[in-house]
Amino acid sequence: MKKLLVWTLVIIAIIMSACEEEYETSVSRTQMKLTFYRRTDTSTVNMGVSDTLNIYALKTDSVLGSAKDSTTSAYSLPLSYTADSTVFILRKGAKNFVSDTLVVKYNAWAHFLSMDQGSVMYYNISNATITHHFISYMNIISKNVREVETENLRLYYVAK
Amino acid sequence: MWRNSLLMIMMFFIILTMKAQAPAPSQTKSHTPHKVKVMTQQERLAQRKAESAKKDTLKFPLFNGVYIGADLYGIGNHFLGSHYDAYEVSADINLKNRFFPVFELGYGKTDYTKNGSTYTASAPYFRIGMNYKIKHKTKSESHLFVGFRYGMSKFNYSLNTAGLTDGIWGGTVPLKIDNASTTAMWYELVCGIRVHVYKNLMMGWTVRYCTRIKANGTSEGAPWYIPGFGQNRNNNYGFTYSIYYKLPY
Repeated sequence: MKKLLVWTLVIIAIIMSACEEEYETSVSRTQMKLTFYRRTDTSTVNMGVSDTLNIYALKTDSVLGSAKDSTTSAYSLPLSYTADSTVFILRKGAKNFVSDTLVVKYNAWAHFLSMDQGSVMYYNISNATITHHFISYMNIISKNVREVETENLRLYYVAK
Repeated sequence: MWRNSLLMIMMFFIILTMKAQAPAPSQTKSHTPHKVKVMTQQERLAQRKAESAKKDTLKFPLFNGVYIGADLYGIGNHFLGSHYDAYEVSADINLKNRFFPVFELGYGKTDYTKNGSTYTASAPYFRIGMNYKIKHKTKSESHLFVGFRYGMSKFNYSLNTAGLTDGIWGGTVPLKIDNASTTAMWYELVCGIRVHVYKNLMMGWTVRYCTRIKANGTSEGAPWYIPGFGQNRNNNYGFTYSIYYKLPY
């Protein structure tokens, strides 16, 4: 009888801990992750552009990414839900600025995560191009833009 | 609130189970005075040895009966505000008073709305497995057990939402899953208690630690609820409180 009681209490404890309601918070908008790499003759380092950098998107007034120092080397940028491409303007410098235009093409669709987390957009990047004023070249690291952020595009600039 | 209600109801059932396990008052209290035989230490030891030897020599035939059961927790869960319902019956066979092969058949359903999204799914499911009676060298029907199950459900699920609205560029992307078909599989490690209540009637509860093997979805989304498994996660805990009847043959 005592053993039965002990087992009962143990199992009640297990059930109670299992019944702890798990609240999953809703997931925010999925974003494409952009990283900057500084290239010299001898090395390539994950590093910001050592100047003011503002990132705008066409068809919106919002500044989507901004940094005034060299420490910020990664930016998370939203993509349009309904269009099949989004155009970004990367503007380096405060006064005598220099700009590059990044065009990202993708397939987009809505994806249900759960009743608690809600739904998000999923993207598959099909192509990405950039002008070369201060960015020397670009790599697509991952084509999938999901709720868990991963590095998607890597931009290289030459140190001066 | 939900947890308190659950706790109260579980405590009620567990006390009920414990009371069923306890010997009847007539067995513990006697109104007629009787002589108490004082046993020596040696006599007590000899008696224990004899009892132990008797237990060890207890032989059970291969077939010891069939039990059919119905889960009450799944029905009660509905009234506790759970987002999903489950109705379940089971059948198990007592082999050698030690092994209890089990087959469980159920029907799970959900129709849940949150933040403008409605998810629906309903389907039958089954589990197959075995319980192992921990103290099997006794004729008592009451026992603790451990066991395992393999579960499967083939079901359709639907999702209706208002779509996703782009707060930056504007526009809305529709999101609707219409009767997507999938098959889910999982296994469970179980433990529990079954106690004799009255004549061929027994009660018991089972705690289940469920591990998902497979539950594929569409590109629009995986199923949120799996009948018989619960919310679609890697692992889940499950609980059943059942009433059993031992068939009289």
